[in-house]
Amino acid sequence: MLGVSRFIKVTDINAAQLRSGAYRQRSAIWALVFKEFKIRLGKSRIGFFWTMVEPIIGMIMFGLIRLSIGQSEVHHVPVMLFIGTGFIVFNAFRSGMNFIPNAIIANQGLLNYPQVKPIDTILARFILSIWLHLLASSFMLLLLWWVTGDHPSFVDPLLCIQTLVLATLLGLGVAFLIAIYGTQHESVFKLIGIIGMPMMILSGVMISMNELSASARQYLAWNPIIHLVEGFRHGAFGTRLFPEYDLGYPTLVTVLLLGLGYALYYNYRFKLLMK
Amino acid sequence: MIQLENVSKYYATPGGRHYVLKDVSFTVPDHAQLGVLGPNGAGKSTLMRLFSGVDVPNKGRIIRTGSISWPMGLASSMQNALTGKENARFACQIQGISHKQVGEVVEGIRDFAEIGKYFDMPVRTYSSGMRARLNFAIAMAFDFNCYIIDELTAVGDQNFKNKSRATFEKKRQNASFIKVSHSLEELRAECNMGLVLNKGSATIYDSFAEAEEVYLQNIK
Repeated sequence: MLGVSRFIKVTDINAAQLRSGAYRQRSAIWALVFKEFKIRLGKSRIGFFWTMVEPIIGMIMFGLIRLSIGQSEVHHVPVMLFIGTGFIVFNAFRSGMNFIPNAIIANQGLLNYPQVKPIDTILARFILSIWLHLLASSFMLLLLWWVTGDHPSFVDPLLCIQTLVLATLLGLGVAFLIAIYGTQHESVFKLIGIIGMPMMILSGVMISMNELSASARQYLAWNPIIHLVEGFRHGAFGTRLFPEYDLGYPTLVTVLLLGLGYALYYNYRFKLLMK
Repeated sequence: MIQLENVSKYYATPGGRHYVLKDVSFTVPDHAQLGVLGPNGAGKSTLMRLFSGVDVPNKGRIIRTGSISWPMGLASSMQNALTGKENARFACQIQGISHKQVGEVVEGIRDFAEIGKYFDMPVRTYSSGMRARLNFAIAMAFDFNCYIIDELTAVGDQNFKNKSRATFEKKRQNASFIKVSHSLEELRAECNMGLVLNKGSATIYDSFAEAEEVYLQNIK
């Protein structure tokens, strides 16, 4: 009898703690999101402006290169739009990469509140970078539509959403790992800037996999982002997918990275709190 | 009430684990006004962080009932890029103050801190005195069942000091507190219980005088 009543009591407590725990985390994350937003806007309007304009400048630069060698379309897609959509998917992966990994260090003072856990600071920055990315992407598409009259037809909108969500989560997975290591060894942060540019070229932002030879494709197909970029374009324009295309691959990588990130977070949770 | 069950806390150092607490169990009762004593580096601040739930033990568990504050004091809970007002607002949101009341509480903090127009400027521009004033004003804006105080002392001119003391006096009539202070005199005047930290052990005493005696023996 005693055992049974005790058991019930314990689970009751656990359920209540779980509820209040989830509530605590939600309000902590929202408070952090608003705070980050305020800092981001307050510190530099230029920073916000740059977030909106950077992908457009990239699109125009690479677009002009292709236009200058006489290519105005890639698989019947206007070249600017083709490259622009490449940036939309790639930046979903990349946009938080300079911002999320510093989250724990930048919020060190606020970790003194028991309600704020290191992981909350990462999630808050992740949420903010999604917002900014969606804003920048919509801005880019509307501007293109307005200037050139071209726009995606979104033949498979679900696939577009799926690839975008996967790209943001894949980005979170990588940023999470960098955050955990970088908080302990700050030199790790320097890698981000070095790897960014080659990654963009290798992710099919301005080329299509079907323009390449089979042997080149085999190497590039190891990059999970290229599957997402091409998948998004397939959903947006109905362009043909490349033979090695497999959405399961980036999904698997994302799940593994997030799992590894959380395991490492759990393992280093004491160190991350240390000042 | 805060109850520690077989709690161990250590830090990894190149020379092996450094234990701050080693298999420690005790209970801080509801009406405790507890002064924590221990030599420098004994882990007083770590213990305060464990009490409030900022940090977690490596082994064992800590059971808390009632609302417990963050560790208030030198380690300020502020972000330098934010203004005083935004820091105050953040503290409100974190403590679960409803939207309607946030403005009111923030204005209360502005009045208490008496730092004038600096309240609307980034904390990084503050002098250490202003920072301490804001810190104290935010700490006193909420009602907790138990205050965790790590060297949070009244600062500023005589007027502000008196006001701070009076406010805290009022708070402690309905709340318990756990306090670390470099001033034995202050603890002696305020505490009815004592906790002595010594080389990984922690012992609680029902009278502060007794705790003080043990502590003074330890550091001899």
